[in-house]
Amino acid sequence: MKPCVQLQANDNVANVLEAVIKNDCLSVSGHQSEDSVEALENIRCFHKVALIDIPSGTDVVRDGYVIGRATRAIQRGAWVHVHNLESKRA
Amino acid sequence: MINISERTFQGYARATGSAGIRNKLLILNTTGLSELTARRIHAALPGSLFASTPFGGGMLGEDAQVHVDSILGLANHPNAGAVLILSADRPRCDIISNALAKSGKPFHAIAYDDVGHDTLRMTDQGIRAGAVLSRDMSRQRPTSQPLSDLVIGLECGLSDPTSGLGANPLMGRFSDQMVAAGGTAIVGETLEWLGVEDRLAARARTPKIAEDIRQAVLRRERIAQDAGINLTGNNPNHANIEGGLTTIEEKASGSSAKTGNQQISGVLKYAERPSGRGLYLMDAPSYSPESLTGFVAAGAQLMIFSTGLGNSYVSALAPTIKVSANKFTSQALPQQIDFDCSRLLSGGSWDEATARLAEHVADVASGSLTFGEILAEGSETISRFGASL
Repeated sequence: MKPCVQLQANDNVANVLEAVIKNDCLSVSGHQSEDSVEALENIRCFHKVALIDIPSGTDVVRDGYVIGRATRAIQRGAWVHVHNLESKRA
Repeated sequence: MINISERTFQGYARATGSAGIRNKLLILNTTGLSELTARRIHAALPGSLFASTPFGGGMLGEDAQVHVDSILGLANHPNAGAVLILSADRPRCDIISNALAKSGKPFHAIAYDDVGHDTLRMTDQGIRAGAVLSRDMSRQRPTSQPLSDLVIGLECGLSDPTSGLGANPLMGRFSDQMVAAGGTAIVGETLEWLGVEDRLAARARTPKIAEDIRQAVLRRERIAQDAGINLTGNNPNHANIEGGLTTIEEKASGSSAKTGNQQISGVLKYAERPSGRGLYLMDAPSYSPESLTGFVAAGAQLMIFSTGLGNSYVSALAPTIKVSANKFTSQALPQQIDFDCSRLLSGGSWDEATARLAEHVADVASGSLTFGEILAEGSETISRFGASL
């Protein structure tokens, strides 16, 4: 189990606290949830993992803030970064 | 927990009221033409601080006014016990000299006009005058000062997700305690209020301040749009993205954690001095050299500067405490990161880390050196807001 941190209950992404290899099991720590998620791919240390399926065009939420929208469908356990998330403002 | 309202530091009383945490001679160059002479004088006076502008002639309107105000802010800075003012022209010198004469700070001013435009004469006179100022200034002894009298600038640079997870919220907690004790904190980087402006505005002391926050963000956003800039890759920049940040909203949400939870007492213009105590925002560029100088000119004696990936830049006038919550960065840069708070990400106590940071601030305020000071990685850069003629 490797740690990832979900800051608020309604966040759909978490930050991993170690470098993650595909198929690693991640334990979700933080304020509310006692969940675990399986990584679908390698994720660099401190980058984001999806905690649930995020449909294309919907909000990505971290620490209770909308940090952008998904540019494609993001599966639970996938790496969330500039290839599938964009700003709603820029 | 340390009780900030009862905590003191050893500082240098100033006629202007706010104490210095250092007692240094400032070599202050006020025109681009005289910069290299000023650098020569600075090099001949080890231990002096140096601040300069490469500009001077042809500046207009508000840009010109902000520049002069910024230079005055640097000249009046409490960490400078005395100032050697250098300038190409006498009128520029007089503006600064008259202000310092009013504030009671020891100074000496030399313009090229005074020395027949002979750089070697200016060098000779400057070194001699600076030596005398330094010797006289060194007779002052530090005395006990309330920690809550400090104005602290809060900055982040080369951020990564650890900044938003650890270092910035820690600075926010410390800032909350400072402000509760009657201290003052300034946060700038307007673009990084984008996406969080509503929550910041909700904390404004008055409806006008709330509106100032919103307008400042809109103006900054419009500047980017007018320039046709897609912010992704610009801010967050390539290093932020490499480190794990994705959008400006994400960067802003982590960045704004530096502001803590206290009421916001005002939105300052660049280099503007806070009118009272409390938490202030400064409407200013995000780039650290310009941002820090805005805080310094506003009177901040000390900076706390978080970094995720490492950032060696510090203010020349205000000792800058580098904080990181990235354990790899803290390990890789042991002579850059002054304060490692990476344990916060593996279950470390926030109260313990906040108390430790407060102790560290009091310690640096009393004279303990930051790595940035030791390595002289500091400079000052006054922002520009318009074209020159």
